[in-house]
Order: sequence, then C-alpha cells, then structure tokens
Amino acid sequence: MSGIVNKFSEERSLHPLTLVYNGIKSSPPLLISLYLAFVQNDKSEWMYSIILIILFFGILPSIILNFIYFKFKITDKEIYIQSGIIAKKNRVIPISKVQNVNFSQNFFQKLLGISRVQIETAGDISAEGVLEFVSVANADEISKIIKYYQSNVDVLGINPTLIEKEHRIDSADGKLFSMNLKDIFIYGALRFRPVFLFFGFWLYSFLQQFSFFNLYFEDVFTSNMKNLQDLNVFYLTLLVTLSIIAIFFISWILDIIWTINTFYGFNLINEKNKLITSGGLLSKQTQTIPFKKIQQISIVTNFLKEHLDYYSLRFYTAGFGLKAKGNDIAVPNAKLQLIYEVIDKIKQYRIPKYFLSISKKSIKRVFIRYLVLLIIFSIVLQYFSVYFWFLLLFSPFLYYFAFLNWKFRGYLFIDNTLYIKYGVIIRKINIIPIKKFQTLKIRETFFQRRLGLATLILDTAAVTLSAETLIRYIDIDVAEKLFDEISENFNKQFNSAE
Amino acid sequence: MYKLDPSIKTVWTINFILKTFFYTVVLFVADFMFVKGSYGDYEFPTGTASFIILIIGIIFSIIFPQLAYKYWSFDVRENEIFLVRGIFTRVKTLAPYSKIQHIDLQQSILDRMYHIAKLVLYTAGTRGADVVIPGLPLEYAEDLRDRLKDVTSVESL
Repeated sequence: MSGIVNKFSEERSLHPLTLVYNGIKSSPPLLISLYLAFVQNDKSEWMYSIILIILFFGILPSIILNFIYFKFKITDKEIYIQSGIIAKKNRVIPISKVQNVNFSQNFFQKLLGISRVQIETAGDISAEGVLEFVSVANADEISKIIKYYQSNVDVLGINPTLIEKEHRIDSADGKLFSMNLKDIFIYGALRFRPVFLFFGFWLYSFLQQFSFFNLYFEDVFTSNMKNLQDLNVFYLTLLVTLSIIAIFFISWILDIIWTINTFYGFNLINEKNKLITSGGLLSKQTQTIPFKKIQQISIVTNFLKEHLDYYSLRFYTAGFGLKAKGNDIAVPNAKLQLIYEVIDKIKQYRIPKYFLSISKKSIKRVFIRYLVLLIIFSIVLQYFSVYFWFLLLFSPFLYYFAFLNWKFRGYLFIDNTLYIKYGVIIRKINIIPIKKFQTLKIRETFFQRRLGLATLILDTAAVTLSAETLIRYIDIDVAEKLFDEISENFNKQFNSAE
Repeated sequence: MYKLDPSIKTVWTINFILKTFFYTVVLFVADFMFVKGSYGDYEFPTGTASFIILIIGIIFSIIFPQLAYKYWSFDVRENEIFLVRGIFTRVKTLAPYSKIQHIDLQQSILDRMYHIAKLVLYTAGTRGADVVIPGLPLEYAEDLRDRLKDVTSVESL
C-alpha cells in the first residue's frame, strides 16, 4: 500500500495523452494552413507553404520537447517541478505552504481521461504549481498524498489506507449543499443573463437561413417590398415582434443549457479549514475557499427572485491563486431558509430580520443626482436634435426610484459583525466580520456635508470592487458613533485574540 | 491631534506651480501647432486657453496648500493611526496597526530640501487603502516608522 505514497517520490513525467491533447489544441492553425496550402494554393502563393513548414516544424517538436523536459516529483517535504526546453525552470513548493489542490477538466480532457492539477499556495501567485496533465487517478492520488504529508509531517510510518479512510469520511460528512437537476433548471431559468441575448441573436440569424418558421412572413415581406405603396404594417410589426420573442426565447433556453452544463451535480463540501465546490457536466470544476481567506459573505437576489424566495450565497475572498476572481458562488440558488442553514453551519451569524434605515435626506440627494444626470443626458440628445423636454417627464419616476433606493438600504452592527443591505433591482445583504476590515473611513463629500450626511467605508481585502462594504447616506453623528463603536470593538476583539 | 510640518505648504505650492507651468506649456504648444484657426465662428487669440489655465493654476497654488494644511491632521494612538483631511470631500481614516503590511518612507527632492518626509502605510485593502501622511519632519517620520515596525502583525487578513 505504501506504493501510492512512494509512487511520486521518483521523478515522473506527465500523462502521455498530454501530447494528444496539446496536439488537438494547437491543430486549428495547422489545419487552416494545411487547407490554405493544398486546397486554395495557387502556385504563386508559396507563402502558405512556408507558414505550414514553420508551424509543422515549430509546434510539433515544441509539444514533444516540452513533454519530455517536464518532470515533477513529490517528496515528504517539497514538490519539485522542472520545466523548460531552453530556459530551464525549477520550482520548489514546500508541502507545508500548499493551501489547496484544485482539479479541472474540460470536455476534451474528460474524453481523454486526463486532468489539470493546480497546486495553490498562500497568497504568493508566483509560487504556484500547475501540472498539465496527469491522469484522473493520479490527480486524486496527488491530492491525497499532499494531504497526508501535511497531516503527518514528522511521522515516519506510512499508512496510506489511513488517508483514504479519512478522505472518504471528510467528503461524506461535510456536505453542506447539493443541487439536483430540477434546482439547476430553475436557477438557469431565472438567470436572464444579458450576454446570452447576443448568443440568442446569433443563433436566430443562423437558423433563419433554413427558413423553417418564417417562410410565410418572408413571403409577405418580399411581396410588400415590391409594392412599397401598400406595405402591410400589421404583418411587418408581427414579424418583428415574433423575431424578438424568438430571440429572447432562444437566449433563455441557451442560458438554461449553459447553467446546467456549469452546475450539473453541484456540491458544497465543508472540509476542515475550507469549503470546496465542485460541479459541471462537460467540463468539471473544483474550487476551494479557505475559511481564513473569506472577507465577506453576501446573500444575493433580485426583485423577481425575491418574490419566488430564491437567493444565492457568495463568498468574497482575499486575492490568491491565478484566478483571483475573489468572488465564489457557494450556493447558486436556494430558498432563504436553506441559505441560513448553510451559513449557520459555516459560522454562526444571526442574520437580522430588521435593519436600521439610512437618513431620509438621502432621497433628496439621490434624486438630485439622478436629475442632474438626466439633464446632462438630455442636453447631449438635444445637441443631436432630439426633443429633450419630453425626457424630463420621467423625473417623477426618478423620485420614486430614489425613494426605493432609500427603502432598500439598511445596516446593522451587532455581535462584531456589520450587516449591510442595499439594492433595488439586484438586492444584497453583505455580512462583514469587523475583524476583517483593513481601514475604516468616514467620507463626507461637499454635497453630503451640506445635508449633514456621511458615508462609512469599511475597506476589506476582498479583491473585487463589487464587494460593496460601505454605508451610504447616514447622518454624520450616527456615522461617527458607529465609527467609534466599530473601532472600539475591533480593538477589544484583536487584543483578546492575542 | 497633530498638524503637519508647515513647510509642506511651500512644497505643495512649488509642486502646484511646476504642474501649472507644465500644462500651460503643453496647452500652448497644442494651441499653436494644431488648434490654431479652428475655433469656428468664435475667434480667440492663440494661447487663450493656456493663459486661463495659468491664472487658475496660480490662484489654486496660493489657496490650495493653505486650505489643505488647515484641514490636515493626524493622531497616533495606542492601537491605530487616525487621519482627517480634505477640502471639499472630507475623509477620516482609521488604520489599525495590526493591519499594516509594510511601511515606506518617501522623500522627493523638494522634501529633502525642506527636511520632511512622506510616510506610506500599506494595507491589504482594495479601494485605495494605502494610508499616506505627507509632510512629517524627517526625524519624527523615521521614529514613527521604527515604532510602527514593531507593532505591525503578520496575520493581517
């Protein structure tokens, strides 16, 4: 049994199918130039042949040589990765520094049975290790071995059965959340991502050339074109409307299909010090969220989903790893009760039912801000000779929106945690443990000062700016009180921890 | 609360005037080379824009350092550093020592002439979270840096 552990202590190469995969990956330029060279080639166009020769003698050997020169081994202390044909690169990652081991597979990789292994270390991006590619079985073994070495660094007796057992128990016990096909379907149906309109439009125009469903309308259209005098407005409108509906429908379906592809078999697993999400149909993804890196937790919904009682849970993490996305979906779509249960299992936050509201003066401030934007926009339109007075009729709506903006904002500071609620269309509740803040600020702009308002900013190490950790438009004395309270609690907490 | 070293006003003024001259020259060259004669119906003599910039710049270089100095103050407390600053937008910043990643002491040529220094405290925060205190007397800044070096923590995320 010690075979598994010793398996990687000798220098090893990658899986041979890596050659096939890299070959496939770099084949499009090769195939295109082949096509150009042999099919399209006039005798004069010898350029293509040269490109072909360069590609053929450049790409293929580089794939093979890269494969030959790539070696890795895992000992009980370090992971060695050696690569490079001309410029050699040696990377040594101490086992104790490894934060987590991630796998990913796309469709082709899945067909070939190979997997990409990414060894992430704490913080330092330059000290990452990537193995492209090893077999799926090996990937699993690598993660087990690293885990094993990390847990028994100074134990000499090696007993891999122990690891396997431990591993199994971990993943069975810690399952926090999973989705079945129906859940994923609902999630996809509610996403309405605007990007997919573009794909929908593209597919629609692609399908149109086959003229399955608009033969009749095309007939009407062409006959009308001949006789512009009695162009049938009704049919034309119908045609346009139907097209738009079709595009929306197609993009909706595409969105659902894509969501199912991304989240099929989605799991959220709680391991000792981290959360692991995994899922995917054609391409599988595993993501690790170390607890220590979590800066902020968000419960996100929109006005439509809120009516249906669907929410999603996101974690904002401090930047690490190559992705550095800083925002990981932990629960894509679930009822609020379930989200609370998941949060409760991770850390005990009591999400408040009622929030303190921000100053009512914010309605005026936000309204004026919107109005100024509208006027500037109108003047620009006026420049292009469009009537702009007509747009000012919308100002009551702006006031209503400013009112909603006030209504949906709220905050609460209890148990060393700051809860911030905001958003009219997309609605969020941000949960920030105050020991995570880096700097604390009160900002009063010129206009805010005139109304006696201020913004309280809690800056955290979360990577994205979308992690909005500020309370806008609260009264200045309230802001100052909160400022003192937070800093006092922070000091208390930090000093007691030390 | 402490104030900054008064010589920072002079440094700011000189910086502002240099910047003003730079933009005036750039604008004048642009005016002379490219925009000349293309004002349409309105005829302005060449160099109007750069002249306006020059005037505004000089007025600003006189007023801005005075006001900025007036509103700038900082406090070095037991566990944190506290700054207040801003003419139009007033900002109060609190940076706990335990969150400081590393510390820089910067001196430009002008700073060196007036024997002052700029202390920059880097945190792991996202939106411009680096805490900057300009215009500290050099000895004081060095002393503060050495004191802070001891209290900053490794575990800061």
